[in-house]
Amino acid sequence: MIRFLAIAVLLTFAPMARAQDAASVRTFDEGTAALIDGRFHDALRAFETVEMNGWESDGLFYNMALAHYRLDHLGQAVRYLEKARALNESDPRILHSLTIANQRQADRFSTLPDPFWQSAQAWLVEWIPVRMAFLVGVLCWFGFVGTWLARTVANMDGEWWRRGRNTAFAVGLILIVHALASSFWPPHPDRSVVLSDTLVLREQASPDATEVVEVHEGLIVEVRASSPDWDLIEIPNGTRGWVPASSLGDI
Amino acid sequence: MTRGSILHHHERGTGSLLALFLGFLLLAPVSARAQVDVHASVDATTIGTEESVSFTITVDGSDGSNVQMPQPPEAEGLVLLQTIPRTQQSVSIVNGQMSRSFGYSWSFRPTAQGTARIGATTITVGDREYHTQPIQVQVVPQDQRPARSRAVDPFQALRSPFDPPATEPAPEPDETDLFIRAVPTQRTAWQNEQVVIEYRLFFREGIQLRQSRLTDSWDAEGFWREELDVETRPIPRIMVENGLRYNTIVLKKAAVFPTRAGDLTVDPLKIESEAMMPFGSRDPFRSLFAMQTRFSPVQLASPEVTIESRPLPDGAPDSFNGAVGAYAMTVTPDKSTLEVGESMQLSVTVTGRGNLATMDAPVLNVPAAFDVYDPDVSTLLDRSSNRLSGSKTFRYILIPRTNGTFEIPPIEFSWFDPDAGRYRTTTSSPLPVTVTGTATSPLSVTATTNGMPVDDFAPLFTESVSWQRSGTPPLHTRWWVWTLLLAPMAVMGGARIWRRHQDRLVKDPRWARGRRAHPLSRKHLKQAMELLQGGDTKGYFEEVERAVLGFVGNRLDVAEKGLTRHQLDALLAERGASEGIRGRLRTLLDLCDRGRFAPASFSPENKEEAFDDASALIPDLDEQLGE
Repeated sequence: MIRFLAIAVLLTFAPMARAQDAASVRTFDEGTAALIDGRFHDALRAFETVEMNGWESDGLFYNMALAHYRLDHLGQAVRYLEKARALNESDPRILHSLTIANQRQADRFSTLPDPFWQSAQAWLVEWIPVRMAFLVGVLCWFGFVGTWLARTVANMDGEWWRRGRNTAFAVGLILIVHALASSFWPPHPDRSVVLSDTLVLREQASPDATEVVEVHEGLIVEVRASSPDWDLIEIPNGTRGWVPASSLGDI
Repeated sequence: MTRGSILHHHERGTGSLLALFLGFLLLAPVSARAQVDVHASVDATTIGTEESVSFTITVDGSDGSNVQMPQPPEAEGLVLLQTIPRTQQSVSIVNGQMSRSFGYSWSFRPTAQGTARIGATTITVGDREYHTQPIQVQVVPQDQRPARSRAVDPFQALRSPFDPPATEPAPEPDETDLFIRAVPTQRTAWQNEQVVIEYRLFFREGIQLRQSRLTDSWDAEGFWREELDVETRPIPRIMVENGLRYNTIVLKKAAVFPTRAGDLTVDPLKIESEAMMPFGSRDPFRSLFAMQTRFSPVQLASPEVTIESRPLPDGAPDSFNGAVGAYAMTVTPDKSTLEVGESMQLSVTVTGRGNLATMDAPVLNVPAAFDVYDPDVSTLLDRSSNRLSGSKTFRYILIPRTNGTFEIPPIEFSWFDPDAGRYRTTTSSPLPVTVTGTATSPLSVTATTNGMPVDDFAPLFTESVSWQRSGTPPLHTRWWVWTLLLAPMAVMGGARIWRRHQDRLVKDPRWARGRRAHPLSRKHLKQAMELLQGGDTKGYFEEVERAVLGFVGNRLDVAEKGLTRHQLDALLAERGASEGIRGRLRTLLDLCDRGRFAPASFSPENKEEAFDDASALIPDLDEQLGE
């Protein structure tokens, strides 16, 4: 009976999910056509529908960035270009457009170097992505458990079994620790983009607090802390200040 | 100097060009060999306290062209009446011999009775310096002054018969006769607010002026300055000041804009002129020939003007860029429909009263599909009125790079209204622009080496295949991650327990039999029930008895076969079984014996009673026998 119900649910919802996926892809194509025609608002509406349906792709984010750029929304353009780059770091179109967008950004701040451990972690994450590290680590973990069971249950043991078991344990442990640690503490803190034309960083989370510095649309900042309506951000040269959360767009 | 040798005598100014011309014409051939002689003189060595003395340096043998103007000499007991000397020049030809003289004169007035002294001074002629000797002058009470016996005046013979005699010098104007007044429109102004300063010359009726000129460059540090127009040929207005009638003319009018806050000072306006006082009623004869009287050099300066500049108040709109005054803005596109690559001109004109010269362009935000070039700026200032006004036009060229319907957002311009003391903002209407056509692939000339546009985004993605679900939570928040990690550990724990169980089963047969007792009993009871349902009563009772005895044998770790009932009972008593449970066992075994040998005597209910008794007895025995 239970098996029957499970199969029935699967057969009922699978085509529905498939139909929804197809609708999202068609909406993306409609948005692309609107973008080609210069109907940027229509294009954005279509792309946002796809995004709200829970889909993402480098092409979707790139086209959203292009539509925003054509509408002179520099901050949103930078935001979606960064999202596209997160999904496809090597695409020349994305990298080129990011360069163009950054050239229009008004602020010229020096950039603080990352701490060496953060750089090392970023390099490691780039070299072995978190999910890949976790999956390989789990496979090693399963290998270790399998060989352990073989020894425990079936008395299969020997020098090579022991070496294999220890190797699988060590490699699996390193990869899983790396994956979970990078998930807990990402190498790059949460980043956001300034969406308003100008944004004043303040010493406290209050509109009456002393001004620290003024930044402009399109600047990428790191979010260090959040309160319900305010975020503590750090600009590239290390200056920190509170800004209204509504003036930022997360990447 | 000999009579009849006079060719010409004049004050510097009128006729000087003619004299110079003649001088050069006649004297140039001989100037090279002329001898230069310099001497100083006064027109009187004893003067009254109310008189003045004229000090003259005469340079014989020079026409003045190579003479540098000397500094006035230092004086003790005398005060200099004017710093700019009068100049005199004479040329004479006597018996075919030409002689020239050039002189500078200053007037001094005594400050007290006694011996006054005019110090030595130096004059440079050509490349040589000449030094004069000091001269002493006795100053006596006015009523005791001697009959004027003047020293020899080298220019005396050159004087006009209409000149006033030397003993009665021409009267000179004082500060009540001639002055400049600076009148600002206000003394306190906001930063960058327009203040107009008018410089007006006041001179008493009858005073004549000529050769007027500005002496220093007028400056107003801390201000942006714009000149306003004044009459080039002004007609004097008559004004009464302190009961005196004056003629007045406007010398200069300037609009100044404070560029910073604080007390800012505008320098005095200084002019040099030559003034002639009328002789009026003192000498009607001379008054008749007033035009022939002497002009005196005068220097005039207006007072400084201090403006208190206040900083603009807080609360400026975002679009405020420093404009202060009264303005209006118009935004005019030359077209609203165009093709890709075609240019359109957007003119933003700000009109009003204020400092238009330094005004920045209002911020123009256009869709990124447009190329925008720096605006062409033209400023038209109206300097003819009492305030500086005009218009400034910023002409932007926009070129769309893609087709579509766009909207040029409203342009906002803000300024500070000094009259109202608050900021004002004007906003244009949004401008719809329709761009048709398609881009004519300019990429061939504006593309990078990898085909990307030089100054624009790369082309769009026409397809996207790498779809994935968005909003992926971090790895450590996923349940399956921890399941994958912990489930093998559970398996390992289970395997470990199973291994230990198996090892004990092998190493501890007694424990193993005990562990086996219960399952074996259940197996026999199940078979018994099947036999009963099959109608095999005898077999049924045999299996019930086997289940019970087998359980007891396993628990006591003895071979149950071959044991008598007494031996079994004794072993149970020895292991702690109670009399009651031993009695229940004996009853059940008796019942099973009867069932095997006289199965027909049992009703179906009796048969099932045996099953129930066995099922209840086995757990009770298990409990009492323990380990």
